Amino acid sequence: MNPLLEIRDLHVSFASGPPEIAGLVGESGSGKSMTALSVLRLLPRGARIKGSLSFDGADLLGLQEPAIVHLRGREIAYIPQEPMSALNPTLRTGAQLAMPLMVVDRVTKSEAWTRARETLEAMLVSDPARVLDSYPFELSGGLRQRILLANAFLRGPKLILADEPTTALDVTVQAEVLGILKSRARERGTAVLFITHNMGAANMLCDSIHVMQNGVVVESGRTIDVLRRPRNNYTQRLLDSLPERAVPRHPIAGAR
Amino acid sequence: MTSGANLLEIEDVSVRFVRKRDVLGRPRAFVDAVENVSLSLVRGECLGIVGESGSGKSTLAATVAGLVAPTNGRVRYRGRQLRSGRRSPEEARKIQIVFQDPAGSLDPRMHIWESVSEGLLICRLAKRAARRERAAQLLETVGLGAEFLDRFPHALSGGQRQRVAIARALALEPELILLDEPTSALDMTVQAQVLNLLLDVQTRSGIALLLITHDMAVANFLCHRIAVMRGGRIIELGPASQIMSAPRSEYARALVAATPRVNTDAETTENGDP
Repeated sequence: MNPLLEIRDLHVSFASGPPEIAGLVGESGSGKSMTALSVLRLLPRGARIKGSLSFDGADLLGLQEPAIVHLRGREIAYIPQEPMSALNPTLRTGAQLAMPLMVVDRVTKSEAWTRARETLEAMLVSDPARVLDSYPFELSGGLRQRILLANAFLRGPKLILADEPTTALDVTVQAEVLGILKSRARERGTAVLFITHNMGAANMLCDSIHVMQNGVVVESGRTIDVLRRPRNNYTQRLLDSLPERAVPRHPIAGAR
Repeated sequence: MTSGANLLEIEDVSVRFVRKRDVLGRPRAFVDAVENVSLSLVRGECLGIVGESGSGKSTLAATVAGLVAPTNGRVRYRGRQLRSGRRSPEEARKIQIVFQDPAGSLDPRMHIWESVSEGLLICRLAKRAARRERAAQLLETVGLGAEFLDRFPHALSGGQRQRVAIARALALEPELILLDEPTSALDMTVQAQVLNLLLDVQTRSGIALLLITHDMAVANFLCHRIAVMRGGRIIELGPASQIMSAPRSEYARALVAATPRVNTDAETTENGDP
């Protein structure tokens, strides 16, 4: 039987120089989310990983479950696409942000809440006290996604996997959220693997772009090179998919 | 105000929703979703309404569709005032809608051919065999083969479902199609295909489009003119090319600036540090 998932030769390296923001770009079904989940070892049952995955010098695939649990959230954080289903609807956001700090890191309640508030402030949430006291459904999509950004940055990870964090958002809110992600990652020296189907969004954020098709990375390079001189047909197709008109449509006579 | 050439006229339309009622059920707090909006569409025109969530653009579309009654003002179609609620079949068939989420707008228990040709059944325009044949033609128009006729929506991808929704909207040969965020649930490559299909169908048939979107680039791709909406009001209206290249209002500038692009040199250089 063929393996359900095969990741071959994907090389996203954060080894040298300042931490990088790398984009993994491809369509639905190209395997980009599975790549992210394989890094966290959160693949669905039945999936097998071939090849190698190393993080900070350690072979991720060789690690036992407790060691992986230790990495999740603390060393490698995850921002999911859908903030509504990622947040618990029955808990106030403050409790959700503070809980891992209290339970796993054994931090006192007041310190956990202070850190949650500070991290929300860093995500440019103007009224963090109110947000911490709110249930997810009371907040806008943009605010919810900032909570998940805060959740990812909260424990100072070395790497953040962001799986289409802005696809469900308006373009203006998307630009804001990507701006926050970029500047906080730069300041804190956090590497980011940004997963998207939108070349334009990748361009706003990423230092390098890896294009993925049918489970295989078909092109990798610095953002500027991939955008200006794509070598692969599929990359070109993704670039062409942004609606940009060469010739504008002019108003019909009589239209006011 | 009224001119004979206009297909659709939105005259001074306001929509106010009740947000809170007191213990006696009397309205206490309101939301003005749409305030004093006037717009007109000529035959064959594509007009884009661009704004963020909460700007009132979908409410405006719902008013045109007759799904929401305006608190104030009128919607005229070919000079005749359109009422909300139950419309005459003649009025109803001339204005069709394509919704954002094709998974939610197609009946999961109906075969694709039944969904596509349901309007013909409701308007009693054709018998079963003829409806099926018409559905096949319509599917061909939107780039889907006859093998889709007997499938159910769940067996289709998002892009294919949206093509089906477009075929369904075309079935009664409308003069105006309302598109409420038709591509925002789709991948970029699929969005590009659906936009090209819409542009192609529009140019060939001359059907007028009223496109609701938050994405300036999508509006610019399809539309002749763009209206920018915020807080229930139209704050800027003009040719698509002008709104894209030289927006007058601060807000329209922000919307244009937030649009993801791949060919702006300044942005690329900024990111491409060694």
